[in-house]
Amino acid sequence: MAVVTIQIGQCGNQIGRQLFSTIHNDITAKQTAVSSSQNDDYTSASLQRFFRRETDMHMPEARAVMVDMEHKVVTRMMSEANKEGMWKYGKGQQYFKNSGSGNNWAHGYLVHGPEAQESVLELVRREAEACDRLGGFLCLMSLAGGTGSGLGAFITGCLREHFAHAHIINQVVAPYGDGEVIVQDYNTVLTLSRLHRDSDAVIVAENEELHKVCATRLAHKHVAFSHMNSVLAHQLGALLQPAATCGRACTLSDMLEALVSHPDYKLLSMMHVPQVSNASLSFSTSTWPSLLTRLQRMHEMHSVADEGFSWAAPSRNRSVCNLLVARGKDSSSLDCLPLTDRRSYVSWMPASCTLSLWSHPRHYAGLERSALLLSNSASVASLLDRVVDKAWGMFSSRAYLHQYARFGLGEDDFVNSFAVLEQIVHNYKNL
Amino acid sequence: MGGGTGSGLGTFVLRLLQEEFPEVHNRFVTAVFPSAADDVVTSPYNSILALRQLTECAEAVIPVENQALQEICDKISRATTAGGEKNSNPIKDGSAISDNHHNTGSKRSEKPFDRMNNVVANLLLNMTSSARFEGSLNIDLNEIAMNLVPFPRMHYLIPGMAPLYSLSVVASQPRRLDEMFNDVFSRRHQLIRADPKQGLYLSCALLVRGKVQLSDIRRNIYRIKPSLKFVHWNSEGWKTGLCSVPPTGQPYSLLSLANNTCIKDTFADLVVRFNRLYSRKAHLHHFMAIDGMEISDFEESVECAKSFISEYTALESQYFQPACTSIPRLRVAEGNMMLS
Repeated sequence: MAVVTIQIGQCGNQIGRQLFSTIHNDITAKQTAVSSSQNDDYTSASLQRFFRRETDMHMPEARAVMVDMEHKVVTRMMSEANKEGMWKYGKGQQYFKNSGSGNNWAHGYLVHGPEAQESVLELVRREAEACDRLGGFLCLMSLAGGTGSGLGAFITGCLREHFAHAHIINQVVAPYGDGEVIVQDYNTVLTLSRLHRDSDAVIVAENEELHKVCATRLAHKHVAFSHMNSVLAHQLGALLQPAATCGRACTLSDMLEALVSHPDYKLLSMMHVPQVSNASLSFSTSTWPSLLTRLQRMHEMHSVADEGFSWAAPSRNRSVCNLLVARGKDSSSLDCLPLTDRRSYVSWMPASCTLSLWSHPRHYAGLERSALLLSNSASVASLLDRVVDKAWGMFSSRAYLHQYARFGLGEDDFVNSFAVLEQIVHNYKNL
Repeated sequence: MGGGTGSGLGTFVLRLLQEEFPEVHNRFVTAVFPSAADDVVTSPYNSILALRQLTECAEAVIPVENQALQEICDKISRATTAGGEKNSNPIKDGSAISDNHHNTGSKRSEKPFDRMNNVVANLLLNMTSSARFEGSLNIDLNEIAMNLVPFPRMHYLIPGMAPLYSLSVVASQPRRLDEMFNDVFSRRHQLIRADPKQGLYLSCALLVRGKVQLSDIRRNIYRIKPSLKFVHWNSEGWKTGLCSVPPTGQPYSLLSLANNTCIKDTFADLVVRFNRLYSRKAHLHHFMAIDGMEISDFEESVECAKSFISEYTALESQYFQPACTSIPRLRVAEGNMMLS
């Protein structure tokens, strides 16, 4: 199974570069604690999944398409990959212009989108055809800016139209609540309303949460975007690297079957333990019970960071269903009891479908045992509620609407997008 | 704005650009507003007539006032002479924003407006730095216009700059970074004579250059925010830009572009000066002698300015009564959506 990654905008491209580096580092890791044949199976499956020319171990090409409205970031990511010298981006798999989208969703969706459609689809087709078996598409983008959000939403729609049977997963990044871009809430509402229609699953990461992980658990004094991107890439790697369930290899189909069984509930959140800085790596060991208990607590407290919450306060986060990916010794036989409390799942989900377990005995990224929880639950509701609230406040004052109108996005479009989001928030709040 | 060519031909060219290149949306104008003691007698007429064009045809206007520039240059020269005389901390050579970095070596004769023009040149350099150099948070002109202009006519962005100069002895500059953030919101560092702290912010951009961490910027925004008044629907109305290359002669710098209601005082001032002349019909015949100029142009322009001022005033009054302007959110009824 192969995954084609489409990196859109500054955020998407930066995360993509980190993701491929993380995966390649995992592939070439020495301490894996499995037999060499098991290791070979894993590494060749992983190479096949993310890179081309798996026979050439020395310089594989990422299965990626890079899209941006200005060239600086794409060029920089390519040269960073080349400097690392372990893998590279395919020549010609890039699309960029010189104009930028000016943080304007309408500019990205209604103007750049149609212009870029032919070329980007051609690049995607090239990657898709180079796959023996296409597992699906992974789109990386932010919600705040103009290119990632607007052009990203448009490309997702194009993929849905042209690859009707392919699985499409979007990894989106929500900006800091107190602002990076003034119109970020508009852009978020507009993007999510489209993705909810066109994508199969949307994994929502928040800069604020990633920042907390870096600042508290990883002890970075000055948290920069590169640290946060690295955390997110680490989580995505833990999700997408080869794993098995019930004796057979896991695919994106399995993921969607496990998590997105109802079309009204497509938004996912990701949590990963253990969270240790590189310096403490060799000193930390965890048992499965302790890891799972921590995950369960983080999940209930809606916290991506494994810190800063009270153990005494009871809380109940309602989930539709969850996926647990465990990597390390005895991961296939671990006891998922902490996460299987029937009361924390919705009543209409049969008990056998509430929690799925994927596992692999090999160490991931130097961690003896690690666990990832990909959750379809009410965690996303509070973020969306906040965003819709602020966006609606701006909308009722008619602020910035002329900027969107000049590219063809009218008030009706806004109202429709708000309606979709309100429905999503309502659905999740009433789980 | 005060002269004839700049205000007249300049705004004509602006209109021409709007008509000939409609797809190029961003027309940024740096407009120099005349001071009260301007030597051009008819500057109030020229300014009000041009103001109307700017309001209609420009995307964003960065107003600059000669008086404010003069005060900044005076402040810098006081710091220079003070440093020299008392043998205390002198200014680092070439670090003042009024310096012409090109000619720090030779002593060529300085023309009268050189220092003030250099300040404005540095303003433009800082504004375009992200487009020319690398940084972790790039801003281009499109983004500035998009984020700072919520309503098409309210596009006056008040510039403030800090620091004005660097002192030579680095050790005696405690908390420079935080001071820089404080300064850029103070009255003395604005390039027009206005106090944004007294007015209401619609939005604000902070363009940082040099070795500054994102966490420092966020920390300072957090710190200063409570002392500033923002419109209720944009209480986090900050746009940040970080460019890694500092300006010549300084380790870092900060440019703030504020869409603030205090600009209405500048316009009100112009209207007063306009009326002083207009009520006597002074110098009007010179304008009327030109083909195509009607008395109605004067009437309309001053009315435009007055209504513009009242738009800003209306926004300010909204600040004290936010509830009236907000519509309740859409509610989901069982089965279908309904607008409440």
